[in-house]
Amino acid sequence: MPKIELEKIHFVHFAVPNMALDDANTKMRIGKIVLDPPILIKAKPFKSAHTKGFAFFDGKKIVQGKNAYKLGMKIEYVNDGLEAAKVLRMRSNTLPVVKDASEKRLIEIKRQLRIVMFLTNSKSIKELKKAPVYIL
Amino acid sequence: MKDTKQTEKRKIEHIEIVTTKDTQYRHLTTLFEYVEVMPSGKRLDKNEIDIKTEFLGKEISAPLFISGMTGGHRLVLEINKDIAVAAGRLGIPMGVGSQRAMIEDKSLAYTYDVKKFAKNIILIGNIGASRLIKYSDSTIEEALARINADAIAVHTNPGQESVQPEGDIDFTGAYERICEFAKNIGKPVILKEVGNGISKEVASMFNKKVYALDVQGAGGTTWIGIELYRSKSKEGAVFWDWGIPTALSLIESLSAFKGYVLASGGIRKGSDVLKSIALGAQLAGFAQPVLIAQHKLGSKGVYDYVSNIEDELKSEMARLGFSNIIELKKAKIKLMEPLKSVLAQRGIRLSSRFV
Repeated sequence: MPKIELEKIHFVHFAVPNMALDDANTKMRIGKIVLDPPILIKAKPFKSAHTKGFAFFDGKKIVQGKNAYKLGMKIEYVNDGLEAAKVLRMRSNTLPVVKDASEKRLIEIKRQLRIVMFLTNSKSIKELKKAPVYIL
Repeated sequence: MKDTKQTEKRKIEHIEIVTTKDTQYRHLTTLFEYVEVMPSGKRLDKNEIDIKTEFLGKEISAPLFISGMTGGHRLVLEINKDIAVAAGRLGIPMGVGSQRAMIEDKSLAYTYDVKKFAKNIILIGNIGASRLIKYSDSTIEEALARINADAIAVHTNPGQESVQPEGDIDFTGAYERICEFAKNIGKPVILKEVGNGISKEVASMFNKKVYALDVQGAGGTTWIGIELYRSKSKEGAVFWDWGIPTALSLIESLSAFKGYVLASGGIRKGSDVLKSIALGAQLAGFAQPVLIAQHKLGSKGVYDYVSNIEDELKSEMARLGFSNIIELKKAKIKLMEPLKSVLAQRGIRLSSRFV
């Protein structure tokens, strides 16, 4: 089946979510690693309390804090949190990656992912992966 | 008091943005362009067409309504007054904007109190779902009584709230509260979106719980976009085109909700109204073009705009051979791609009227 372009994928809006935006839990476990959010950053790793949980991607490995892990998944580059949500929802065994993001940008992208979760009534990434979509 | 001032300021900013900036969806459309109403085979003259219908137990002169937009600031009284005078002359219902401002500051009630200008209009009050959680039934009853509203629209706008700097981003318990409110309030409750649409899942939750749904789908004005102009937030740009296109939302809602479903969100022409009614909507509504018309020419602008829509609707009905709304609702409808495929993806089963 041909890969569907991200711009053609639309989440089905859930008009009355039974949650607060802050209830959206963006953590996802992959083997030994807990990513929060499950979006990799293709940039030189930097330390920040605000971006704790984020992981970096050096082209081969996932780097989180002092640890490095083999990437056993596919990747797809994205521009924002909405595209990242689409990758998580529609691509199997694939992690979204953003290029050269600053700390401020990472916080924005994480908030965008949370907005998608809020607007689809998804409290976890597991629920987001089941959120209804349509292809247009 | 700080909250009240902030609410008032926001009202004015919203009006300024809607009347001066491009606030329309950029990529998503209503998808009405993929709906075709098939001719009946009859030939009719426009003068033979009767577009009267019913809403809230009353006969209205056309299957149209003017969606709630504003209230809560002395400067917007003129807008509500002009719309009310026009709606009264036209014999169609109108809504007011969120009554939160008059609940927070009772002295602002006069900006919503439009029946003094058009005694016989059907008036729809308005409150946000996220505010409803915080207010008691009696508080809202009082606000509705103050303006003598015939019904109330509970608007749900998680999209707009999530990108608004001061937004209410907690909708926990909103569904239960709306159902409880609808049971207790003693007036018909209309659940309405504000431009992002209602899905079949949400429509099904509210089946038999509220009087009507107003889908307000994607393809017209984007409130997420409006908030972008106010706050310059990055989210506004990313989510500008978020939502369910109006035609899709209408068909989805009709498949799961057995009460009245109203079509709004990007309704701009008589042919959009024709398609909405043929698909099964009880009424079709609009807001932004009415606001622009009022901004330019006051009550006359509103009257002329809606009259023109009515005229277009009658012309279309005459061309296709439907002499009244009941006949139009039985029309055969052709759905084209990609709407047809999207409905299949969404598991919507269509009746034999669809070809």
